[in-house]
Amino acid sequence: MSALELALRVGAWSICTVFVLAMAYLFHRQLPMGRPALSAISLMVLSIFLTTLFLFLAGLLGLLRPGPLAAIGAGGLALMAAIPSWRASLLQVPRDFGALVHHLRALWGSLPGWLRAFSAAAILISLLRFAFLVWALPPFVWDSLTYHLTNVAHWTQAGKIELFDTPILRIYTPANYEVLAAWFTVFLHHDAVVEAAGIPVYLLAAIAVYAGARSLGCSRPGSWMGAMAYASTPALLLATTGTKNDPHIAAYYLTSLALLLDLAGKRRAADPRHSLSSFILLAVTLLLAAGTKAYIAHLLPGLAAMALLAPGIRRALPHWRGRLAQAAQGWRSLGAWSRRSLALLLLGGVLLGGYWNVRNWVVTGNPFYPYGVTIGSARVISGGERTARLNLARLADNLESLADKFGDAAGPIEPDLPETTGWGWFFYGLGLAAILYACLTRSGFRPLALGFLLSLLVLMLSIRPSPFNLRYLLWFPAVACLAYACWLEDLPSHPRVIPVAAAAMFCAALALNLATTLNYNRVSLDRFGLMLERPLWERQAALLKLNMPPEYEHAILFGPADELLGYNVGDNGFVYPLFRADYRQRLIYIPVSGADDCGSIAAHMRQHGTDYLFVAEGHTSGEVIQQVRDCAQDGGLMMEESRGLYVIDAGS
Amino acid sequence: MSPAERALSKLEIWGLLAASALLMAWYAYPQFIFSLYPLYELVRLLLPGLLPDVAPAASSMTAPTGSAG
Repeated sequence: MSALELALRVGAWSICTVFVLAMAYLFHRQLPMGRPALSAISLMVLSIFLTTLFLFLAGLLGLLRPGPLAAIGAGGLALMAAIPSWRASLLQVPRDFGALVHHLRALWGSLPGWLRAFSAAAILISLLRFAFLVWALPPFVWDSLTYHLTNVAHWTQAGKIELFDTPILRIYTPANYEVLAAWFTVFLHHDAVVEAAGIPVYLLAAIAVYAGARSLGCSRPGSWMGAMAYASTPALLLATTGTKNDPHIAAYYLTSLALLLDLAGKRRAADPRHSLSSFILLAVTLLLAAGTKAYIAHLLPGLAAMALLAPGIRRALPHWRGRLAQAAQGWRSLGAWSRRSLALLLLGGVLLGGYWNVRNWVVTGNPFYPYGVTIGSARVISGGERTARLNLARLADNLESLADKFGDAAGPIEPDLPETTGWGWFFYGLGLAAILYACLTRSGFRPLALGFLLSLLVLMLSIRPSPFNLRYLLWFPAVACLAYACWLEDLPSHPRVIPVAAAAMFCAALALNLATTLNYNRVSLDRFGLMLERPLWERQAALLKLNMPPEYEHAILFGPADELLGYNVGDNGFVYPLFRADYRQRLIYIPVSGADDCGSIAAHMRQHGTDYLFVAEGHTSGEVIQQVRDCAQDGGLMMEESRGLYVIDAGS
Repeated sequence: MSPAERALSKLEIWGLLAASALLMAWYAYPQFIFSLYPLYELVRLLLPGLLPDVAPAASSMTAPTGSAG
């Protein structure tokens, strides 16, 4: 990529970023929250939501290219400048930015000196760590290489969001995360920074823990420490740059929790607009989550229980009726223009929350395709090659698996969490004791703890027992961080040894959490070296010899980069690495089986417009590999160009 | 707060600190080794040749874990 082309691409990206942030700011002004932490949540959620919506609509219209996107962004900015009320609102940005800086300075000033020094060091190290991992490594987590990033690669290459022919049926699952990830690939037409797609929600999750702690009545320093503790959770840190959607669900869950805690509190009787804003933001967050991963539905009972119990079980109904009445009053107080714009915002939420399932319903007859749904022994929704089950046997199996992993004693913490919970030093060292303390001493904390527990149990009723399913629980360690924030409120300042010991343990736990995630505990130094010796633009997922069969490396090194490449892998095979980092490689699935003879395989390839067929050990069925290998050895129709890469013999 | 309540409150705080210290000690084996290993690798990356490669001894850290399914 030339410097000029790179500058143009970055320029288009910048225009679109300013456009989306300006839109987010305009909506943010329509949703006054009344508290700085909730205002920060509002701005973050709206920015993530509108980025996803913008790219989603452009993708459906086939405009997923830097040029058209930049044109829309520039046109949108010009429109904002031309409409007086929007222009007047945008002119308030410097004033609001000043207020934000003021709040941040007040927060920073409220922290004790040792915490300021520790926080500054932790933030700096975290920034360097994120930047290094994003810059140094290509994507390598299994599910990303099978379906998350396969969607992203196809959309980026095709310039539109669409279904395509592939054996990886999980490309049908809700894909708001993938749309957001495309924001990091579409403009550069490259995956160099795609791992950064988790960082916005990582920040959102930490802010949500801070806001939740403040709603529980914790001080600024205590809430800050709780948020820092959650941000240091190893499982979350590893997943954030792991190109997966679980950190997104964790962030949306914790954001909903923070909004519900605020609504459940008594402090908000004055301004009906604040209640309205919280309800609208809650709806937007949950709809965004619904279109990201279906298991948010399994977490809702816990949120609902917390919302009902927090105001007190007897006062719950009048309390929530009062909140809804306030929201309705807030709605009536709005002008027609504000009502329309907020209705549009909610409509966008319904679109992002429902599109994927409605599309699947229309295309396959099953909204949850490729999953059929079984509750107990009854098949509730048929169709689909996989089954989502809800039954008590799963609960027992999953709890047993959780018990086995509890304590993280079986091995290092890795992104897929095969042997550990990944909850880290803080959760086990300080968090467990803090949960016990907060449950015993704080009546306001108990509904929260029960909500977390219920969410965990309902989730465990339904997730497939597998060594890798603890990634669905990234949100859970937040309960310990909130409990710790509560505990800090009761920590006496004398004798001096008590706060000193508590601070030392806090710093030690967070430093060890950070230390354990400096790399992914899977990538050895020589693998880092392998990538670092290549220019940024040539760091290919296929070349990171981690979980990658050598056939993928051969396909990149010897394959036909500018021609159509046929491939055959199973329903859990890697497709993404074949696209190449710059998405130059066009791909086509060749649906052959071991029963096809050489002539039939060649015919399938020709019929799909390619002379090449890629297969790989562990990803393609053994029968197909054996068959194409035999075809090549017979010396008839096909020959082996390099390991795993077969080409139709030009002379045949 | 009565003297008895104050004493109980202090006991709670000390108890929690002691429990936390015990839990951290429990968590430390074997996570302490796993936590320091990336730091060790970082030093090896920044100062090549200073420290030996112990990766074969900790082979579980580089072994592929297979499909997340």
